[in-house]
Amino acid sequence: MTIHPPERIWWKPISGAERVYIAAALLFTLVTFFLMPVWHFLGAQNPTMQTYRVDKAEYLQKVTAWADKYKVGERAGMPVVEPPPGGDVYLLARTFQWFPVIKLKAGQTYRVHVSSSDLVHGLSLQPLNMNFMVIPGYEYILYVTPTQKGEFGIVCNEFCGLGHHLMVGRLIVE
Amino acid sequence: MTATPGPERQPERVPFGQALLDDFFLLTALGLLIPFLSYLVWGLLDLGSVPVLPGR
Amino acid sequence: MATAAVPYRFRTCESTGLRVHADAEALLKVNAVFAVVFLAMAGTAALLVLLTRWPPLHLLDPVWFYRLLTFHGANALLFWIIFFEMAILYFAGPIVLNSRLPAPGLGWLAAALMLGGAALADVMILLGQADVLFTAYAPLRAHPLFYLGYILFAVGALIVVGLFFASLVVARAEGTYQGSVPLVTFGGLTAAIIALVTIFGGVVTFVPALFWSLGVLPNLDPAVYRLNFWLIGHPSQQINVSAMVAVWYLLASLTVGATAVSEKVSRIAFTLYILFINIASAHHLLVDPGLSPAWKIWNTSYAMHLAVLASMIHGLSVPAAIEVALRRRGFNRGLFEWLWRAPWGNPGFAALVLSIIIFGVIGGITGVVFGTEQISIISHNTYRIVGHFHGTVVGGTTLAFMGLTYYVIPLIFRRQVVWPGLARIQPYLFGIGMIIMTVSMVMAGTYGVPRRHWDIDFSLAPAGLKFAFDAPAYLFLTLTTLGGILAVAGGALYVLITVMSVFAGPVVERIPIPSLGPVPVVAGAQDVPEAHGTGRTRTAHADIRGTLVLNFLFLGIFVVYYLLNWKWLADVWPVR
Repeated sequence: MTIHPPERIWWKPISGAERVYIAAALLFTLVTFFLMPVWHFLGAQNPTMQTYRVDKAEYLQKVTAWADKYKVGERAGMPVVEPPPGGDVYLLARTFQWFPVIKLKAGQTYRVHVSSSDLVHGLSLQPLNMNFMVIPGYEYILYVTPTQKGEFGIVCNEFCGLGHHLMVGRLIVE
Repeated sequence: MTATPGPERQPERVPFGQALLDDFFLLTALGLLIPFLSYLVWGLLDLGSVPVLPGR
Repeated sequence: MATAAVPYRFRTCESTGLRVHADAEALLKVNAVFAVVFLAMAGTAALLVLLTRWPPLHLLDPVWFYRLLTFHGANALLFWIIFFEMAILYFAGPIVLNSRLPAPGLGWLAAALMLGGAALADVMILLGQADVLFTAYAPLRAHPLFYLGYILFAVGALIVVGLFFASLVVARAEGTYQGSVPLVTFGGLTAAIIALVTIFGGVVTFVPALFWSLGVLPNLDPAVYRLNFWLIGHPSQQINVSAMVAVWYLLASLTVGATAVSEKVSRIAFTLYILFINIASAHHLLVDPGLSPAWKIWNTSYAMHLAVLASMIHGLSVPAAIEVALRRRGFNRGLFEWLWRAPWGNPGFAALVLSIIIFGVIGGITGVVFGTEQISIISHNTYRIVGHFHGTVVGGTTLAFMGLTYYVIPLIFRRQVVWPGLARIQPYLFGIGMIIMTVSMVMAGTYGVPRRHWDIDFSLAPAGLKFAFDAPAYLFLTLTTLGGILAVAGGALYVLITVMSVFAGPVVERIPIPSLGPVPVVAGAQDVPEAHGTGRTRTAHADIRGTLVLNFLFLGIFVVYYLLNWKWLADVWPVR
């Protein structure tokens, strides 16, 4: 019984039946491990990011300046910003808003800068369901290639206060 | 125990693997050291080496 | 020599033959009772949160939703489950080793600290001083007394873990057992070591947070906080995994008289947990900035998935032990007669099997898949994650603990379980409810539904920015609610049966435990089991064909779901 001490010597050969399954399981677990580094070389979706330390106020300035420079319209009181194809994009998370509304061209790879000017937020691009964390004081760059056209929602999926569910943004791809 | 014949007349040595798993202080030490180094120290080193954004 | 001076009070358990130290048993009872109280509170909050996340009903306002979500997280994930685990440690240490608990006064101090800490944290949460969710990610800031509550709870738990280690030393020194510790104790040791890691993580997280909340520390780096938090956050769940597996082995013995098919295999699996299970806390940080892919991949993998292998081994060993035990009783026909003829009417057994299935198939598979570095991109912070951990912690650990309670009541509280008809269905009600709920949560999350979110209709957001999830998301949220209500009913039934039995059940002196009686020799059985003691089986002849089939089936499901997720990942936009 499992509540009694085992035999004096319990380090004994393992039966064939157990060996077969353990070997199969071990093979599977090794494959699932090695697929991760392999996908960094063969796959197109990796959470690699280039990260830099940034001052929160400084990031806010950068985003606002960039938005002013490339503004093409307005939506829900926020600027709609269309940067040059393949250029830098700046996205700011703050309670309770994703700033600004961004317009991109399909098939181009953009350098998307992300950070927060206050708390930790969760960047959730829908309905693609692509998710990243956003941490104040850290600016990171994602190289993103939109491959579909349409209007996409940016939802916050990390609790950031009592207005967390108000936080929804927009990404437009043409 | 004295006069019984049988396979365990001489007590067998406990195999090395068994002795290791019986050593709960060793297991505790490794169980603390490995996550401390692999997860925490390495993680702090990564976060500590995040560079400041170059240029203005 | 040692026993003459102080009279330690022991009784001999008539059901198991164990020598039970009165102080250890008293502390076990107190911790078990506290555990059930906190479960009842956690479950009540769960129901309210569930009914709020169901769009048609949307019961609570945002403030109370986030507040009770905080309350639910802290009471379910920390207080209920750790109190129960303290009870398990008192059992797996002194009681299983027929030994005394040294310094029981410290055990009472620990219980007071844990109760006080939990109560303090809960009061601060309900007073609205900690609307930060149980993770309390800085820069979200709670009242200092909230952090203090967590710290006191952790200190109390640390004392109990220390007493467990002390009882191991005392038992060995006083020779109350021979050779290696029993498997259940080894599982308890695994849980205790992981608890030390957890508590260390708690210290590095909450002590600075307390000083920051008090204004002494000027700021707290949010990325460092997250790294530190998950050194308590996930290891606390790995205590659950280890304790649950120890309980699986224990219940297998109590319900069908099973013994481990290979002690070596089971102990190696526990050892892999000890060495590698905690580093996978990294899976919370896979889409965080600042941490390198190398760190992420190595740590999230539990060291090349070796600790995952350990779980898969237990998923083989426990059913194998059950199969061998039932085949020895004569249920030897074909692959699965032992399974059909198993004691499904015994709530301890039903809970055991459901726990294994839910933990493995739902919790385990989703855990490894979502914990894959790249697949985190299509999972992180969605309802997929919530489905995963309700599969492991609730369908797995909590259900196993419920099953064990049906033995704690007669063996420790010495009462008969009341309403046996209801007790028989309770694990099924809870388990089936959990299956529906967790699968639906994972599906809803696959359609993008966020976790920790009051309103997926975004009804209060500015027009022009509103976003609508696809229709299946709503279907799955409805199924989530349905499954959740069934589970809450099962949980409430558990609390009711437990409380009634402990306070009003008929007194019982002993209960039958299968292998402690003479086991009939069955024609065709490969070996003759002993009537008492270790129940030796020569593993070379153990027939575990049924278990093998089930495990390969499990492996097949795993492979399919795993590959599907890579396909789904490859369908999203290129990103790096």
